[in-house]
Amino acid sequence: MNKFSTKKLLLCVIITIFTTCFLTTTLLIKDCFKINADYITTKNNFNYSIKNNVKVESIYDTLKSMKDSLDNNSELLKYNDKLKTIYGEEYPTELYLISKAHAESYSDLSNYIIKIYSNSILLGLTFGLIIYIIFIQKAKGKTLLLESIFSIGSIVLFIIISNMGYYLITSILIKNNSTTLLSTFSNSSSILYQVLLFFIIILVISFIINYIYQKYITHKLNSNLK
Amino acid sequence: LNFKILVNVSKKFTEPTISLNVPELNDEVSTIEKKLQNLINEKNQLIGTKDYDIYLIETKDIITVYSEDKYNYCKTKDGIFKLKEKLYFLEEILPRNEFIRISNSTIVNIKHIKCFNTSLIGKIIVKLKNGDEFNVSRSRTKDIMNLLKERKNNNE
Repeated sequence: MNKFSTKKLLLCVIITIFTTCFLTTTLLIKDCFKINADYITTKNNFNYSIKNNVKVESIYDTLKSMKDSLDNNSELLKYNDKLKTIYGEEYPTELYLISKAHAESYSDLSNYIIKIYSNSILLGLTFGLIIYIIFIQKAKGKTLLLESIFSIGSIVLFIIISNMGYYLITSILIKNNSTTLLSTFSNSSSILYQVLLFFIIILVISFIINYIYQKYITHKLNSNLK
Repeated sequence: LNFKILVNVSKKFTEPTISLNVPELNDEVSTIEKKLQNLINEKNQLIGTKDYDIYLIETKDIITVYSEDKYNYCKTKDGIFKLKEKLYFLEEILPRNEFIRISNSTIVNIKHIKCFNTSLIGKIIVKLKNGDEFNVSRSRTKDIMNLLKERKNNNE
């Protein structure tokens, strides 16, 4: 049995997470290029958007149909002069319903992608822990039992935390979008992107601060070396 | 503490002994004890192997000592030699003011350091005069800094 190493464990988990995410992305991208009309039957009218009348043969086809739905609706949602001559200056009920359906489809699409990736991360985390405990550390007996319990605990904790975050953001979205049409019409997953953007900004700032600090240390080391 | 150095020369001493007579044990005494221990342990030569031949290597000729695939090696201008000793032991026996441990797997000769640099990902790299580059552990930068400062003060 090898000595426990946090560095190796983290490396192992990160590699497996990257692998599962890579495979997921590859499958999704592959599906974007896959054209199989037999799988999908769509009705290109208003009912399609509202009822979401799609026959799905695989999870990837669902994604593609959602994208098609959004593309079709984007054109219909523009309240241009042509529509104004038909419906008048006031925003019509039909378009309100379409915009709502559009927002829902957009939200479904984002939720779907997030669901796929969170499952990939979860799968990567589980595989990483198993690979580390069994194949790298070669744990036996009491250590194996303890580490397995700890691993299961970590996975459960990860699921709880990710779900908490997800429901928190969803509740904010519902609260914000239920009042006005414009907020419903706008990109309903924008808060998710804002959270992601916030984390990316924090990462970039941390990286820059660390880089400057390391530069300062390097300068001090060089001045002491002379 | 003000230390007085006494040297007793007599034929009754069978082996050389250093003793510290102090009223109490404190950090200063411990540091001096450690330094004396390092000084006693220091070696000027190491035994290395290369192609099944055994060589006596002068420590001043060593550029780096590093571990690779569970074995330790030292690099000199004459080539790379395999060492029997463990890295933590080598760290103790090599002259402390000449060698610094920069990571878990590398010890370098200060005389052969060209400069320190920062990599694109924010890691400190040590560049040697022979062109070699090694990563410096974040946890060891403080020790390296102290040693270089100490060395600089001694030179001044």
